[in-house]
Amino acid sequence: MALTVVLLVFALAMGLGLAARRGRQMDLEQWTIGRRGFGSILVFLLMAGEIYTTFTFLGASGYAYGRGAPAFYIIAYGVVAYALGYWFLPRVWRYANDHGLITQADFFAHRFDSRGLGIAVGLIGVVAMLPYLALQLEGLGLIVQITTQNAVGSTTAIVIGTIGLVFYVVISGIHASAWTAVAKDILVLGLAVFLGLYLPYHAYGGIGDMFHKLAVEFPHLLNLHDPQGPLWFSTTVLVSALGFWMWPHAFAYTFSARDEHIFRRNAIYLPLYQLLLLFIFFAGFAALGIVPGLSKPDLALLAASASTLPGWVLGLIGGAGLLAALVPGSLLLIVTAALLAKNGLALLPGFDTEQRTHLAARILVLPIAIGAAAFAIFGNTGIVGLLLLGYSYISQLFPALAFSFLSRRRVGSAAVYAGLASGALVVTILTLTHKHVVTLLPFLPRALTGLNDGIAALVVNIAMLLLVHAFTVRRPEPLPQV
Amino acid sequence: MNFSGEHHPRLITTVRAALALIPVIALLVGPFFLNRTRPFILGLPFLMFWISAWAVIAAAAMGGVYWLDPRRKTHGKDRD
Repeated sequence: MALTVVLLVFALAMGLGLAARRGRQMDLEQWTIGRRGFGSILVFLLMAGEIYTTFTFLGASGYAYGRGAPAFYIIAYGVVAYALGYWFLPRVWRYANDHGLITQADFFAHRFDSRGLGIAVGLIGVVAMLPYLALQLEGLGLIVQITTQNAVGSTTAIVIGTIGLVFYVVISGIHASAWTAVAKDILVLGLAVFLGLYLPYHAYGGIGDMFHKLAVEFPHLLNLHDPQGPLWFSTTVLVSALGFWMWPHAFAYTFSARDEHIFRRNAIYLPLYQLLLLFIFFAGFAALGIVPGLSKPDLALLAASASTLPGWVLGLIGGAGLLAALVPGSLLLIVTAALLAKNGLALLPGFDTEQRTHLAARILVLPIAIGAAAFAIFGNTGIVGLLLLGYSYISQLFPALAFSFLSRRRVGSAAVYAGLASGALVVTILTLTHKHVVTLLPFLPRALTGLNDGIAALVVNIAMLLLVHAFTVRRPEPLPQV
Repeated sequence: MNFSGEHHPRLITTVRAALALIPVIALLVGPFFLNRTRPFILGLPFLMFWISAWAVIAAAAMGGVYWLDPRRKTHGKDRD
């Protein structure tokens, strides 16, 4: 029964993805950013696609199950990011629209007048997105395997999902992501609300009763404690919010918007949409009463569902998990291919016409997808670590971009390189030595335990950027204000 | 009623900045002082209620920021 439902959802996704192409002449701009023609709802769903991914069914509920209150940082950072986006996104959109930019690397190359910086930003983007894509595929495999109760193994699910993904991405581009996003959000949100109400009711008799009982059984889960104390919470919310808009695919859905007011209106609704994650947390907490002591907390929501719900509901969860992987997965795939083609290959002779760049991007989809799928199937231990590293690298782009909008003088590419490289170096040292800022610099007070490492990297980044900016030759021309 | 920026531009800018910043500060600073389980409100432990409530307030506040945005009036003159 579950298998039939999962297959139906998969067929629906493929149908929507392929139909999305109808009546459109495809070129690189159409394929990557929908020729800047998406209205409020599609842009909203692409943005929200970031919130409701396979991570929602695995990591987010697992965080509530395993650690409790710290999970709420996910709701908090979204709210901070959207407030930031109100001012930030219209400026980014306007600049890209005025200059006909398609990728994030285009944006940096144009904004800082440096083709080399474009290549560097493109590379960082590709390195950060590949583990993200692999993680979505791995999540897809896990969700389908558990919800179909091993009728479909995770490797089979990953292979079939990847084939479908390649097929509809090559044909419809970002239109496939947008159309599937509609089906995905209806299904995911419906299930989130249902599971968030049903599982607490089933295990504890209701949400209020659940928390009162958890306060006795697991009191430490209901507020923050070191090493994830208030300082951890606050700095992690800040770093995550600053990094949120720095993903290359965030630029893609920003560029896809028809006008800049879309971002301002969406900033009103997105916090409420983000709040629906509460239900996912409720499901994670309820799993403590249904399937206690799991060795893998990420499986909390799925395991609790599998032990309490009939096959067809599990099938819907499996289908939702599939869509939750396909939508962000397709966007990641498109943007990675576009970056490699437009900001890499297109600089070589022979690939420099628009038509050839577009063809190259669509052909590149296949090797990228195969690479990510192989990563998801064989390399499962290192993915989360790589994703965190990628996230830290990506957020290092924020200071340069912020300065370029705040300062009237053009920030030179040398200053941007210096900031990026030093920030990335700090991140790399902290990651490779498995140390935190406080353990690496023992003279810092113990009160700083929990300080997010990204903050340290950003501080070094900003300091270097300002230093080099102060010492480099000032260009006479002022930066066009946007 | 005319709340347009033409009459009180500086006041409007201050109000909009405050509306956007207050939820952010409540979320970033609040947990240092309100990291507690009780009292339960609407069934939620206090800190969880605090974070959730500010997500709702932030939505309303951003609505206010948009309503007071002088650029809102130019809407419709953009390209289709």
